Amino acid sequence: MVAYQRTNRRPILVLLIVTAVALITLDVRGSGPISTVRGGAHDVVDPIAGALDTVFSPVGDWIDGVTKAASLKDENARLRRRLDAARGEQAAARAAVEENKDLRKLLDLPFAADANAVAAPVVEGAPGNFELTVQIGKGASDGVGADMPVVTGAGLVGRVVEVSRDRATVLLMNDPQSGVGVKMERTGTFGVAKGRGDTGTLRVDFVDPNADVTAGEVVSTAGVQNSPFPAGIPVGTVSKATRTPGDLQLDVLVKPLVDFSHLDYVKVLRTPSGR
Amino acid sequence: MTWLPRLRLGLLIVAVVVLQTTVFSAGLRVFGVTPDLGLVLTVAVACSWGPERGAVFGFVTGLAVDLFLSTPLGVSALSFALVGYGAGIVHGGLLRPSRWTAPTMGALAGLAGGVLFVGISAVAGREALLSLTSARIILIASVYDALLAFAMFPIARWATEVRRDGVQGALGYPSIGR
Repeated sequence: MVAYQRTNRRPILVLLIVTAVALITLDVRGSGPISTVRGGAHDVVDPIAGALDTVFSPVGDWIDGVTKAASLKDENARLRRRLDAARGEQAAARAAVEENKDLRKLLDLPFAADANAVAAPVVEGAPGNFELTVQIGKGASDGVGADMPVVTGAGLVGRVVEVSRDRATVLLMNDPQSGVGVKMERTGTFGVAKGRGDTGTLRVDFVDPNADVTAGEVVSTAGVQNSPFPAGIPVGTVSKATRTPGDLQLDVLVKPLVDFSHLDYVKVLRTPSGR
Repeated sequence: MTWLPRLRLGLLIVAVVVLQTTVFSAGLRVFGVTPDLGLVLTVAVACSWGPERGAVFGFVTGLAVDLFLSTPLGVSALSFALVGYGAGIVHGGLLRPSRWTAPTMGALAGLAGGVLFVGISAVAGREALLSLTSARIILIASVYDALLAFAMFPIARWATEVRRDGVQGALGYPSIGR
């Protein structure tokens, strides 16, 4: 048995616990100085991150290749089949796009794709294991602000939650902390889509239990008042709508249009609601 | 305590945070999971320096890591401090450390730290973290932590060394493997 001097340990531990709880409380309530300190920390680390990424990304790619070889083969075959199908649908889609443009001009509706936006590369994944975020290579110096929506050509990716000078952190839609007001395109039914982690689906809450929602229906942002997300950004398609007798809402699951595990470039919509 | 160990530990904290938020988050993931570098280092320091200093070091390291996470500031600090404190007490009760003490402590730290992080985050409003997915992540991360402990413990021993004549045991905490 190792002999050691007993000291009065409790005051130190109690002080640390009290300090940590105080910090957690302040951050949960939205303390401005804490956000400033976070931004400053990112400003210091980001240049080092860029240099290290250049050196270590081949190692990461090798590890990915080893651990994901089987799934990569399956994904390759699946994508080839999808490409063949997409080519067949391309001609029909062109006609629909042109008709859509003409109709929108007539109705003078705002459309997300016309918003002031900045393209950004995705440079890093989440630094921790319990959050679904990505780091993008554009920051405050490029006009990126907190709460700005982030999209790709497929649809909604998430929103900006932290901004430093040259980078920003994007909270992905599949993170359980994410939520956005949505509308079913066919019926106009409203709800709130929330992330469900790595399950591959989003859950839509507060859907009228009597609503006529069917699988395959397109879901897009509703653009409700005070929402940082403008209306019309595609979110996903309904994968399941279950009606349980006595429930206060319809159980709706949505498959996102964006593949959150393969993000290379995104677009930040510099909307007025962003800070 | 001289200033040299503090300087070394300060540099180690910076290095661990940079590696955690850049190299390990971008590419060195195993089944999508990153290790808890700061947590393993905290346990290693606690084994060398005791529970009180281990808790303080864990608090500072956790706070540095929290600056780059979207979870509330202080969650990692509290988790790391408690694990560091516990590791220091457990190690102080060991009859005879062996070569497997480091990876075992690393794995246990990963498990305890992960559970504490999820629990504290849930209390702070992140109830969605209480899931089977989190349990899977914690298990994989603890294995990764055990592997990294082989490297982190000698580094911590070097950083906390006060004198080179091997009298660090004056605090009553002999280093692993001696």
